[in-house]
Amino acid sequence: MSAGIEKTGPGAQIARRIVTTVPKPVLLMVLTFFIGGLAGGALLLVPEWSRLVFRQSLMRAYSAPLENGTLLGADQLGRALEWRLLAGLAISLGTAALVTAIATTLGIVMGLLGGFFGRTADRIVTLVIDATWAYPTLLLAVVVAGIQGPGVSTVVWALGLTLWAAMARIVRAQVLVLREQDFVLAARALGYGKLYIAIRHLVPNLVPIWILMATLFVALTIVAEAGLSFIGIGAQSPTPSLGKTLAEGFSFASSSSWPLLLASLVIVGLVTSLNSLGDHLRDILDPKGRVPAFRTPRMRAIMQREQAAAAPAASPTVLAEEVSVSIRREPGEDVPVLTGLSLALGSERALGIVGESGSGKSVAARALIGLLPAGLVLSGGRVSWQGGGIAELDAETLRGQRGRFIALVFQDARASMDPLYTIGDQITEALQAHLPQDAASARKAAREILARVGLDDPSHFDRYPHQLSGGQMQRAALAAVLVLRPRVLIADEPTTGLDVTTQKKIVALVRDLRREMGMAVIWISHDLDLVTEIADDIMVMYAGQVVETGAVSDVLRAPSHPYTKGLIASRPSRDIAPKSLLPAIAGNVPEPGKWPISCRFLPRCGNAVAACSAGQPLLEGGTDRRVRCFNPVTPVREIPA
Amino acid sequence: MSTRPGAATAETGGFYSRCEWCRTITAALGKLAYSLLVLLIVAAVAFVGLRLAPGDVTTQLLDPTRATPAELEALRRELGLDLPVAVQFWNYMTGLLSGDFGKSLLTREPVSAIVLNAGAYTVALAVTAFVLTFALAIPLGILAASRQGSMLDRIIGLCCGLLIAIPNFVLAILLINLLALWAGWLPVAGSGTWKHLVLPALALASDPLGFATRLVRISYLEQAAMPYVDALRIRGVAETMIRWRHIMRNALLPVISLAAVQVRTLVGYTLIVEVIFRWPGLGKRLVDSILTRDYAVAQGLTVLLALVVVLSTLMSSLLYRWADPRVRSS
Repeated sequence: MSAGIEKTGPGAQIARRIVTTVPKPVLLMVLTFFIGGLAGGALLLVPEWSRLVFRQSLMRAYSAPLENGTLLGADQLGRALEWRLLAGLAISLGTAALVTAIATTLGIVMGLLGGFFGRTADRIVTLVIDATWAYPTLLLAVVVAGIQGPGVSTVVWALGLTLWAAMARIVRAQVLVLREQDFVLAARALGYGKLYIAIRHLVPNLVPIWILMATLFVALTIVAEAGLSFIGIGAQSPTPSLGKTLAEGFSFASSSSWPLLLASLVIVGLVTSLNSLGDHLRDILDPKGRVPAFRTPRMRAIMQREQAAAAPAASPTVLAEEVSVSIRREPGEDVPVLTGLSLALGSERALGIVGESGSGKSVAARALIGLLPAGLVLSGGRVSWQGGGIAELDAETLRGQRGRFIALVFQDARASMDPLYTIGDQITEALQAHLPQDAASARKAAREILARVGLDDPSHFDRYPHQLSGGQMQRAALAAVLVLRPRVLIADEPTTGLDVTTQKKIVALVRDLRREMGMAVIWISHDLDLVTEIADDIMVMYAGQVVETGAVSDVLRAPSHPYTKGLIASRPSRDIAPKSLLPAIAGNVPEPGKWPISCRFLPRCGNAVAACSAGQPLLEGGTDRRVRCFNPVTPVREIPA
Repeated sequence: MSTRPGAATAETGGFYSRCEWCRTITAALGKLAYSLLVLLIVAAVAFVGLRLAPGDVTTQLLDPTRATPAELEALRRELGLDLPVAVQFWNYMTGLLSGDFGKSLLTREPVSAIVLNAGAYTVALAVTAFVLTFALAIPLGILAASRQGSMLDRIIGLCCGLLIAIPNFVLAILLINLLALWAGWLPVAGSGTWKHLVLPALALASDPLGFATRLVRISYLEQAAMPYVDALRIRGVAETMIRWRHIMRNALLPVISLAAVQVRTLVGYTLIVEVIFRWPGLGKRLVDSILTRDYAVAQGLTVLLALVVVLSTLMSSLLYRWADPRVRSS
């Protein structure tokens, strides 16, 4: 493995991950069985040694382990169990290797044929897969046994000819995804043949699937071989297959239960270690199957640990004091993503939060609503709604306030709706959760709010989320929160995925609704122009910090922080994708955990002085205007009020 | 909470849902036609496959060294083997369509009679195992998921691992030794009373139970981490509603697909479990017919069991369509 550092082929990479990630005992068990299988193979192939496996001796029949010169005892014919079990291991693993070779090869070929070689090929392949699938593996084994008589090769053919279908399905699905990827499209554009692309570009990407399925097939074959031999369809006497040894042990259990016990132990041990290896491989190789190993405790529990500070006298609607949020991977290994966020949102005010992706805007939104995404924890500070700290509220009060007092709409509106219920149903549900009423009046209110957000076709009420366009979906998501007429609406990049015309319509809609309902709004965006259309105040964020705040007109007229200036300079960038670089500022927002100890903007700043690398600037200034910079473009104190 | 919000859609379907019904029926017919095509292939494979078996069936019924050629010829004609293969296949397929699965070569008993006798046993066993699997897997999986990382979760996970790792015939042996031979509570094998059903059903359900519990757990955890769950919380919907109305319904969708896979697994396992417990069902009859080289019975039962698998796949895909609006309107 040490030499593999330079080699970065998929195989070498995967092998390294397997060796480092799979627990050593599991690897050791699998390796032991594998070596046992090799030894058993040698035992069967070398004639002088194979006598050990088959030599009968009635004198030592039914010996217990360590009796009559045996290590593990002997069976009903006095054959030494240690040799028979080793040979059985070889037969099981050999069968498994053959089956796996047949099934995975067929599976890859058929999967590629279906996924990459045209519609007709796909139809035929799918039909063959489905027809194969109709035969349960053991059923086909029995049929094959009928054709060519019982035996180990029956097991090989039966399993090889059914298991490939499972592999082919997965390969086909994977190829359908792969064929749309850049490298495949590029290769096709360059005129390479399909066969060449399949072998050169697709097959290497199937290595993880191959490893996973191979592990699965090996375990399945061992169980099936033993089971078939047990009922007389598989290996026949005197072949020392594990299933045969088990079956004979079962028949003669009244005389000695050792053969039964030992054969069971070998089978279960082998299958358990292979399954365990398979589970770990799935974690490594299949990103979809991975479930977060650790779930964040409820935010309330963490917040309770924070000491309760006295509510300030003049209470803004939403108040954040020195709020910090971290990613918690291991306890004690927190990586901050948001530090020292303080803001005060007065009733009916509109605040815009701007910054590039990764500046901590969305995390700030989630902290303000008191519900952080899984994996993030509140590591300091305090959030208050209407003058009361939310840490002190019990779960039920908090639930009652969410939606009714404060609401949040997401960037991805579709993901914020349950796909299995209609839009109308989910709006009604939100309404009923806070204001229980009869179904008819709830539906009426839901229809009214849908009409208000511009979904006035009555059929929209009965549509499912997947039946609406992106713009319609964002309107529906707005309706689902506005139906409760919340006092505060947080909109987290609600127009990012939409086209410019739809963006403008949504912004205009929220502006009107804000006036109509007397809502306070926090509008989060990377797009300065959209924010200026709706906000009274603006807050610029960079790398988890607020770098500048002030009234929109003041900040736009005379930006103080070099980053703000850069953002303003990049303004005609409306159609640039959110993650692309800002034309006026070179570089990227550093990832959490990689923030400089100096001023976090220093690496990208064109205005830096010596003091900037010495330490972090504070957010300084009056109540109306603050900036976090040692060398501001426009010093805050000189700005006329 | 006086009315269920879900009721809101029921009466307002109108035009939209009627159109959806047309689509559902069209899709169902399409799937049915496809299933028939699959069955045709399955039956053809069984027909051709068993013709590949060594020797003419007549030589297995009559000793060729003693029987006269006339006797062999008569038997051939009786079994329809004198006809061209294509005609034989046609007769066999049309027979299948009218429910004629052939006749035993040894006893001349119609396969349909065997199916009626033995089928009841297999249905009793498989249905018990199927119900047992899902009646336990769904609550256990949800319990483990909602207490993720707890001791209970780990114990359930360990049990699933064991159920999957211990082959069902090994488990069968263990159960026989423990509950039948040692404790004497249940009969070792055979049939007759409900007590005879317990051990084979447990052995049959073990593996599917382990898989299904794991799937329910993972599916629940996956759904609980979806953005719509956070969105529901942010809208202030109560946790009980989120859990039972949203997470559960989404999490149980993959179980519909799994159910069909489990029918396939159960059909395969009945072959082994019925032999071990001498349970006089289709699986045991099929293994017996192979060991006694009664190919007509083997062929008939094989097609029948494949039919069960195809039908369960068809039903599960229709059920999925009904449960998931995304599939319904695509």
